[in-house]
Formats: sequence, C-alpha cells, structure tokens
Amino acid sequence: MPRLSSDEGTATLSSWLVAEGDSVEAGAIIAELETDKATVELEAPVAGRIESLRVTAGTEGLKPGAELGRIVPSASATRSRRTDAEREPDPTPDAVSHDAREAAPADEGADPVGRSPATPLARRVARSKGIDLGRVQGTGLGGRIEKADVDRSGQADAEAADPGIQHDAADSPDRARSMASSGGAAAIEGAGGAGFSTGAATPRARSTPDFAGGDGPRPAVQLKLRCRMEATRAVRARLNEGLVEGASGAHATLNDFVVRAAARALREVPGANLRSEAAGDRAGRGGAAAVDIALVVATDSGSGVVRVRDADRKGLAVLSTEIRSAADGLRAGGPREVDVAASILVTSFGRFGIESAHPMLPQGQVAVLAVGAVVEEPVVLDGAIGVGARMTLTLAFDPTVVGGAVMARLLAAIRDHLEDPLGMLL
Amino acid sequence: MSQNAYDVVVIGGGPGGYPAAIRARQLGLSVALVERELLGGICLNWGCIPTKALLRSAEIHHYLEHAQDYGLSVGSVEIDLAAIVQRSRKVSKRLNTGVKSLMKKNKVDVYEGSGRLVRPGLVAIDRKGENGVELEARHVILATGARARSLPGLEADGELVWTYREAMVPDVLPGRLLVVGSGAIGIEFASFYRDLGAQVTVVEALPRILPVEDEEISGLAHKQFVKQGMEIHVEATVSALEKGDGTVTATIQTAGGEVKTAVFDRVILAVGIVGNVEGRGLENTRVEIDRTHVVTNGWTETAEPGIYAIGDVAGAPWLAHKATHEGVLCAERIAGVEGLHPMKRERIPGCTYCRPQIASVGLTEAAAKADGREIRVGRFPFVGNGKAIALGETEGLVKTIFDAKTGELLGAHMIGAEVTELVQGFVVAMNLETTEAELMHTIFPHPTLSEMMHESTLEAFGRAIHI
Repeated sequence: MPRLSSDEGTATLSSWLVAEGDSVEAGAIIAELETDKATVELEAPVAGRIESLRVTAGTEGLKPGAELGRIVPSASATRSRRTDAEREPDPTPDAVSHDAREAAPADEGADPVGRSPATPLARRVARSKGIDLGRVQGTGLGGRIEKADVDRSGQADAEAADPGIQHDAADSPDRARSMASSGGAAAIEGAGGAGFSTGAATPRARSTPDFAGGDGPRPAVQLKLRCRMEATRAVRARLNEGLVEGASGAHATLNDFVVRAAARALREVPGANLRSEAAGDRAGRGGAAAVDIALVVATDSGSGVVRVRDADRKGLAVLSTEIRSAADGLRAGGPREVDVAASILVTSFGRFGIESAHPMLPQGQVAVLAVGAVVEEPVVLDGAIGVGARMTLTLAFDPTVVGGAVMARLLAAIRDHLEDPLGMLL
Repeated sequence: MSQNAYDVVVIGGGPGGYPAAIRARQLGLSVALVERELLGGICLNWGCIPTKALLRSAEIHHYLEHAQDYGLSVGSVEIDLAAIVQRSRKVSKRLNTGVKSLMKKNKVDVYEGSGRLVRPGLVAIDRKGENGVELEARHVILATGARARSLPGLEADGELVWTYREAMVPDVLPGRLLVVGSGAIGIEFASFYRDLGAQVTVVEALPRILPVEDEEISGLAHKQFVKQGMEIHVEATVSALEKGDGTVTATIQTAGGEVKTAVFDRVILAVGIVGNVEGRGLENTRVEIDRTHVVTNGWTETAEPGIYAIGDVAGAPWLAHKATHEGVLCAERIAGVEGLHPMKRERIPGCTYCRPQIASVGLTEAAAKADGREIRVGRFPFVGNGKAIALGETEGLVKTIFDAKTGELLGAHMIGAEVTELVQGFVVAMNLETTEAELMHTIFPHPTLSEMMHESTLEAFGRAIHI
C-alpha cells in the first residue's frame, strides 16, 4: 500500500485491473486506489506473475505499508535487475563452483553453494555495532559478508560497544536477509506510487579495484516515484515574483528546489549520505560526512558536472546562485570536474520533456537522482477535476554499498520536501 | 585464426607464467608461452626448489652429526658436495619435465626464445641464430621474473663472488664464507653452508637480520645462528671486495663505525633483486615502470590495456606463490570470470627454510601497533610442546597477534622446526576471517607441533594450558 499523501490518511482499493495468475510488465497499472482527495494508479513494481491478491476490491481503510498482494518476479525481471556488468556466459565447463561466481538467480537470498553468509569476524563486528546482517551486502567469496562489508554498511552510528570478547558465547543466529522473502516473491509495497525494486537482494560479489580504469557501469537498483509538484511550483512562482530579473538573486529553478530537497533529505535520513570508497572517503560516516551534491549541467559540447559542497547548509537562494555561476563557468570553458564523487549526483531531463530516466552509476558515484519533466494531468482536487503537476524522480544506487531501505527512505524524504516545500526553505 | 595468433601470449614460463597459461587454457583461451631458458623459471630451476633440496641434505647432515642424541652411532660423516648438488639438479630436472608435460597436456604452444613487444598486441621471439617468429596476441602477460641486484663495488664474478646461481651449484665447500644481505635468500645459504661445516659471516645493512619478519622472530633467529657458530654483523656494510688468489678480502664497516677487513674463500651477494624489465619492448607501449618493476593495479593490469604483469617483474613480495596467484587471477580477469577479488597482500605467507625454519603471515606486532590497534599477543615456546621435546627440537616460538576488540587474527609469526608446513593453518584462518573463538574451539591433533598454534591463541587471551 503506497503512501498517497503527506498526511497519514487511508485509502480504498477501488478496483483491481489484473487477476491472480496474470503476467505483468514492470510499471503496468494493476489497481486503482482512492483517497478522499484523488484517485491514484498502482504500478507493478517488477515484471512478473501476480501470485495473489490479498485485498478485495472495495476494501477501505488501507494504511500505507499494508500488503495488497504478491508478485513473483519473472526470470527476465531478475536478470534485468541484476547487473549491466553481466557479460558473456562463463566459458568454464566447471560444474562445481570453486570460484566466486554467483549461484543461479533462483537462489537469490539462499546460500550460494552452501557457503556461510557471514564470516565469524563479520558476525561479531555486526553484533557489537548493532548492525543487522540482513541488510548488509556481502562482497566476499560467494557473496559472503566480510568485516569490510559490515564496516561499510554504515547503518548504525551507534557506539561500538566494547564486545568484551566472548570466546564461548554462541553466535546470535544470523538474521535471515530481509530481501529473501518467501520463495522469492516480492510483496507489493511502495511509497507514493513507487515501484520498489527488490533487485538489491542479489548478493553479487562486486570488485572494487584500487586503481581507476574502472570496470564500466556498476550494478544499480532503481527506485522511482512521482511527486506532486503543485506546492513547489506555487512557492517558486511567488519567490521569483519577488526577485528582480538581473539582480543578485536570480530566478530559482525547479531543479534548485530538488537539490535543496535532496540536501535536506541526505542530512535527515541516517545512513543515506554515502560516498563510493573510490572517492577515498570511508563510507559509513553517515551523519558526520559532508553533503556534497553534484549536478549534471548541459553545455554546448555535451554536458559537464558541477559540485555544490555542503549543500545542506546553504539556503535555496545561495544554492541557486552557486549552481548558476558554476554552470556558467563550465560553459565558458572552465575546468571540468572529472571525479565528482559526491553524496548524490542529480541529473535532470525535464527541460527536454522527458518524463523519467533510469540512470547508470558513473565511477565513484554511489547514488544518482534523475529528475523528469513536470507533467500536467487531470487530478481530483477538492472534489473537482483540476490540473495537477507530477514529476518523476528516479533514484539509482549501488546495492553493494547501501541497502534499499535506506535509499527508499531517502527518496521518500526528497518527495516529502518537494510536496511540502515550506519546511525545507527555512 | 592464423597459426601465429593467440588470445593470450605469456612471456616467461616460471611460477607466474605457466599457471597463467594453464588457467587460461582451462577457460577456453588459446595460449602461447615464450620461455628463453627453462620452463619452471627461476623457482623450479634456480631458486625455491633446488635450494630446498640442498637444505634437506644439510638438515640430514645436521641430524647425523647429532645421531648420538637419538641413540644412534654413525662413523664420521663424509660430505660429497657434488652428489648433494647433483641431487638438487635432478629434483629441478624432474619438475622441469613435469611442467613440460603440463604444457603439452593443456595444449599450450611453447616457443623457445626471448619474447618482446613490438607493439601492443604483437610479440616477437628472438632466438639465437634463427629468424624470429612473431605472435599476434589479444592479451600479453609479462612474467619475465627478476635477477640478483648488484651494488656498486659489489659485483659478482661467478667465481669467487657468487650470486644465488653459483651458490646453488658450488664446486667447492668454502672454508670461510661471507654472505652479504640477510633476507630469505642470504639466510638460507648461510644456514646451508653452516650446516655443512663452513665458517659463515653474515653482514646486514639494516638494524636486524630478516628485516621483513617480526622483530622478535628476527631476534630469536639471530640468537640461534650465533649459537650455531655464525658471525653476524648488523647495521654493517661491505664497502669493498678485493679479489686475491682464490680468496676475497672484504672491507666491512660495522655498526660501531670501525672498519675491519677479513679474508674469505667465497662471497655470496644476496642484496635484493631487480625485475627483468629491459629489452622487452616496453618502451613501445604505455606500460609504466617504477624503478625496476612494472606498475600494475590490483588486477595485474598495466597502464596499457591488454598487457598485464605478474610475479617478480610486477614487484614485491617476490614469492612464487604470489606469482602463481597473480597468474591465475590474470587469466581469469582476461577470460571475464566474474566475482574476482584482488589479491590481499596481508594474507600472503612468507617462509624461510633455514634451520630453524621461519614462517609468517599478516601484520607484525609493530605494524599492528602502528595501525593504532589495540592488540593481544600470544606466545608459545617450542619447549612447552610435547612433540617438540620428543623430536628434540625445543628451540622455537609460535606468536599470534589478535585485534583486542574484534578478535581478528592479524598476524602469525613462527620460528622452529617445520613451521613452514604449519603456517597454512593460519593463512586459511585469515582467509575465512576466523576470530580467536573459532581457533580456540578447533581441536588440534595431539601430539603435534600444530598444537602450539592453538596454545598461542589461548595464551593471547590468558587461557593457555601448557605454560
């Protein structure tokens, strides 16, 4: 059950548009939900087969997070969610896997080749830091969780309790990975009509070379949601009215609002502010790390990237000015930042009318936010048909560095700020 | 594919090159290997293997000299140096033949000659008195190894001043031997010749012998060698070697600043090695060289795409097992195998086969402390172990280092009989990220020297039973 509005309302499932056993594409509309304000379409989060519908049409009082049904991802969905790095099939005739190759997709979440999911050291460190092993991505042999993976997961800023090493204490049982839902079925959940990709379950051992000369685009999980942009649009219009063209305060763009929302969200959501280790920062310093936002800027010869440091400490006007002058500097032939490992890279397609994009992760970047165009469409406002503005945000992230739950919270927080912008402008 | 085009051309058939070739074949690639001398490289022919054969003879000589301790009497023991050397050459030859058949079995095309890069993707093979052959290669693996380094004033002449090569096939047992350099190579030769009765002097420029080992282990080794009758000078250098009639007069500057001269029958130079990077056509590529080795990343890749470097030519540690691991990793990288991991240097064990043997893996005590870690150190002496006493091998120590907070095994350092065969337990433990708890709960067989690995772990946490 998605969150449909910023207040904790409930909704009614007015009708199912699919039946049990139907096959669906990712993003297909499978149900209609109704709040007292609007009708919203529910999209299938993955391609697959509808295994069960838990809620009958007409059920009222549904709260966000309620399980509406189950969809079994199709093999192709699993494969496409895996990695762009998957190249030709392994030529080795080995039947037994001695190497660090992954098990077949059907084993998602299960022990590949029966290996233990976490090393003794990793288990102990996770326990002492209060880190849930189920949310740590393993990069060891066979997807095994190693100490470095736990250190990197950056979920808990909790003080490492002095473990007072218990040589004989039985290890607490590894909590089953939360990604491994029963039988590989993914519950239909979401936030704001989001497609919640469970691709993060793939424990693909990812290699991180010391040197640059990267190995191409890395596996990225894509989270998508649509924001209601009416409030931000209104605020922006009012702000820009008050600004004299050409004066020191230039017009704020919608993109500036997105950057501001992202900066705030990165500060608010614990564990969301991560950088790739390739950038030299140790990921996991969470709240202590600076919030730097990189933006893709169009230039005459293509595009470049500018970086805004400490974006969370800058008000909208300052951000807007800084972004504008950095972009102008780039267009004027200023130095291009090549390695811009930032907390997040924002890339916007809106001005071309493009509604959404599935960005890839460039080297050194852990998360990329793609911003689509604002699309006007009829919506129900106060009982009457009105014109609503919807903008699609797609957040791509590296599942071997950060977990899906954290990134989902981040995206939801960005949406919340954009739907209710006054809070973030203070 | 034309006859002279391959997926992979490996230049060098040593412990890096030939495993790389075999692995690449296993992964379905077409492979050529170019070797200018002997398959098996230095390791099999002029390094690891023959020296172990020599040291075995020396070890047995040592036992024969102490046969009475074991209730046996032997007349005077005759040393047939030529036979000792012959045995080691036979061992090498056997393994060299073994590698030849491995190449045949795996259908690796072996080319004799010296390989060099004409340009990326094209390897020329130079053979004496013959027209060269050229091989097209999608990937080239440089596995050309290394050779002994000389220092100014200290050059080998192959007669009175030896490198490891001559030291391995001595024509005569030197009465007085000078060994310059106390790394693994120098110490192994010092130990070999000492056990056969030579008067041995070791000169080391750094403050202790075996400088890469844990300091405590270096110290114990030093004591043992002195007990065996070696003369050892640390913080000392040899400034000149004057050759006379069948002897060499060395000028030694000791730590105290005094200068002394001494006469020796032979000198062994063991002052390091340099990578074989010359004459390989690397200047025709973007491959970068740092002093004497090829620069590579964690994937054995050089700065030129399609060219890789493994083993001694790619830098430290200069160990055959490191070369082999890199060779396999390189082949897998080329073949596109997924889920690869770069080699973890801190998990590469190092072994020295002198008497007593030395073996270690991971961080030394000093390095662990310098890392800012709180550590726990366990020590168990050989004299506390039943098997060691039964063997009559009571000199030695097993030292383990753990992270005090997490119990992570950071390092293990051992000196004593057979420790080179024991260290693998610690290496496996490290690769599994075992903590002290698992080691404590492991049941080691009794009576063995390996129990000391268990006791050392217990000792680190105040729970040793046998001391």
